[in-house]
Amino acid sequence: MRWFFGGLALGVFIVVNLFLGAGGQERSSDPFEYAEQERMPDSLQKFGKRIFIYNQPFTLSSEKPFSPGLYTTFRELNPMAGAWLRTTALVWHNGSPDSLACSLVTTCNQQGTNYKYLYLPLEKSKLPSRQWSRVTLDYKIPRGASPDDVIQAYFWFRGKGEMRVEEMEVFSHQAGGVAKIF
Amino acid sequence: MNKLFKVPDLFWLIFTASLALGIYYQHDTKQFMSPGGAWSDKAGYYIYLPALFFYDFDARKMPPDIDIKTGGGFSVDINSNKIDTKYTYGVALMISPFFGLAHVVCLISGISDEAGFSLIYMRMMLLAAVVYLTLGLWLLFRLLSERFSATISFMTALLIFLATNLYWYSLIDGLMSHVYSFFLFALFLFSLNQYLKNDWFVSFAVMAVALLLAVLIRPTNIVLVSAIFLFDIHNLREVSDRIRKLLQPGKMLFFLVAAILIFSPQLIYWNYLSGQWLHFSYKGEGFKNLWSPEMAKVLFSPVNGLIPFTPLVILMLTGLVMMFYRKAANRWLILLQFLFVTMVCASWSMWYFGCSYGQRSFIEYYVYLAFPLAWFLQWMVSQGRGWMKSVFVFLILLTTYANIRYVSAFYRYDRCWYGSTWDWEAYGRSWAKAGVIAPFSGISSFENDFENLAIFPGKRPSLIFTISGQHSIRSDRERDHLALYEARLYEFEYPWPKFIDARIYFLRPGKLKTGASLKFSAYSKEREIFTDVVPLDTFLRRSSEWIPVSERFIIPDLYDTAMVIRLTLENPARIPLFADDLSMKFGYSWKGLSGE
Repeated sequence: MRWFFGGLALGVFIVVNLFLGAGGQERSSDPFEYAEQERMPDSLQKFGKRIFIYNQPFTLSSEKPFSPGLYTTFRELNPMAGAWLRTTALVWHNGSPDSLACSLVTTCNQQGTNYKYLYLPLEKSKLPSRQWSRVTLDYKIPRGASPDDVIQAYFWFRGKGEMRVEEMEVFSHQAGGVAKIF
Repeated sequence: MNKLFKVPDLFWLIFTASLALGIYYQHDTKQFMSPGGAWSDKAGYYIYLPALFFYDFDARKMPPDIDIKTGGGFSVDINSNKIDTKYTYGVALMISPFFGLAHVVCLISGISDEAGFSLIYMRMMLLAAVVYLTLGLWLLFRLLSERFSATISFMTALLIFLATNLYWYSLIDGLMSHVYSFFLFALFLFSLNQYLKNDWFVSFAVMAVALLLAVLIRPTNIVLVSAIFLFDIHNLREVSDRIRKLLQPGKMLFFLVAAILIFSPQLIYWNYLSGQWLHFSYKGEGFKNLWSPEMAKVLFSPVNGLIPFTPLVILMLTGLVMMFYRKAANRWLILLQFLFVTMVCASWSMWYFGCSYGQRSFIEYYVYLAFPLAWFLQWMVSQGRGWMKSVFVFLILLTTYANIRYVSAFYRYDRCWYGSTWDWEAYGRSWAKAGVIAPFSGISSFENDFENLAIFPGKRPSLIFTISGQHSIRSDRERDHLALYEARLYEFEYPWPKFIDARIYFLRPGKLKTGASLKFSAYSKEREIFTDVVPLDTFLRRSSEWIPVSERFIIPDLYDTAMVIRLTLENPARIPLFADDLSMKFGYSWKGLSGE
């Protein structure tokens, strides 16, 4: 009988591992499922310096999906190690909160190839309809692969209909006395 | 057991089942000259037969590039007109009846023999391995059944086959020497046992021939001689009695004649090859670690370590402890043999024995380790407490299942272990790939200490400066760029990794600035789309000292599963620079890094 229990335990082992293995194949391939944001340390918030502002209201639509935004190079910005960007804006829409297919993006890119591409999918934020809401995205600036690599911050509207944006600003935050990245 | 089954019937069952499994494993081997066929070492053992029977050892008659096409296990030197194999002819001798059988089959059937390189020869070599395997297991069973019950003896023999790398080296790589050595060890101990019981000359003769053949195949097997003096010995007086019994002129004369007959062809071959009667064919190899043996790596490393790939050894060693506790016969002999083979492997320059499945040099010594395993099984069966018996039955069945599944579902495709000396993550992942355990996580790290030549990025390792183990990279001797790591995105699980934290040690022997750099790059559709170059001279401020260089490389956010990421060492000026111990951690999230 005890031999039987040993064999039974092996059977359970095999079945459990097959079951867990089968579950492992069912991971979502929706990139918006894995969108993640960083949070700037509180100690750096007082060191903010505005490096981009777009005061005028503008409307995003499927014909005009990208907003004005920050477009600079590492050479121009010359960020120190551990520097952050904070992008903030007011947004307004008249659809349902979870249908707002728009991302607030901050990214670096090298000749068109993005790296450290962070985005805030607004449909996940469930912003209330027909009122202005402030959205913010923090971004820790990585070591640039090249001084000519670009740093960008912008809205990308992916849905149908329209969305309005105002007071788009980008701040650079870096503590003094830290070695520069370049 | 004898009431239920006739034991010989069970061995016929093992024979037919093994043959069927072997045919299944080799069904996708369509060519003699392929990794599944007579390849590399296997070709080196086999080449004696076609060289003798088809080519008269005339290198110029050999098919062009046959040495390259069979994986470099031997070489054909057209200039000196020599066929050079570093292996002895022992395996070729053992398989020669089957080679002859294959030739007869070719003659009768009209299948082309392709001068010894037809697939029919390859198939017949499987039959050879299975025949010797079955005979070896049967002899082991007979030997054990004089000391244990038939059930315990049969279970022990079956476990030695199914739960160890003997399974691989009989059904898949049966042209390697191990299954033949295993048979010879079993034959030697069986005939020694018969000789001690009955004092038959025939038993002595068989024992002597088995010993000589085992030594011919692998000279370190000379340690078998110790069994002649220590097997079933209880005190020193018995040793001297046994020496007297053996040192009889007739027996010594037979032994001498047998030795001359068995070793002469080898000496003749060495003379043909080098002009010397004695020739060390393992040039560049040898017992280089004799004074710093790699014992821990041989026993525990994920790179072909004994216990990670044959966990049944734990039960064997537990049984050996029991034998010492009970002061059982042969305990010292078995311990001596185990320590000896461990020391031999740990002293050998390539302690992991290349593209092996587990520590293959231990296979023949399982004949000895079968005794403590039988002890353990006997103890387990006698256990009154049922739960403990259930646990051990589970563990034994698990090692058997895991071994067969690992070989069948994973290793027979890879045929080589691609990991670093202590890369447990790669080890765990391989068991998940085999389906033995469920996948537990994506790839989170990669290590390369440049010891395992299967993942060595350059042409040949440097032995001069190392921070760990025996090897490092000497970059000035290589191309001006050397790929340290390369992977495609699909090898990782989605969501893809976002960055790599890499660390590698460098040593600059001179004071010159090297101009070298670490370059991380990404390729999409064979076009370089991203590069990140880190100059090394800023890190290497001191010379003749190992200095760690750590850097974070960000992986581009490109939804292209075929995207290649590559870390290279660039040394355009080829100024001497050594590198060792690459470690890479893959980051899947930017969260938690903000406070850095």
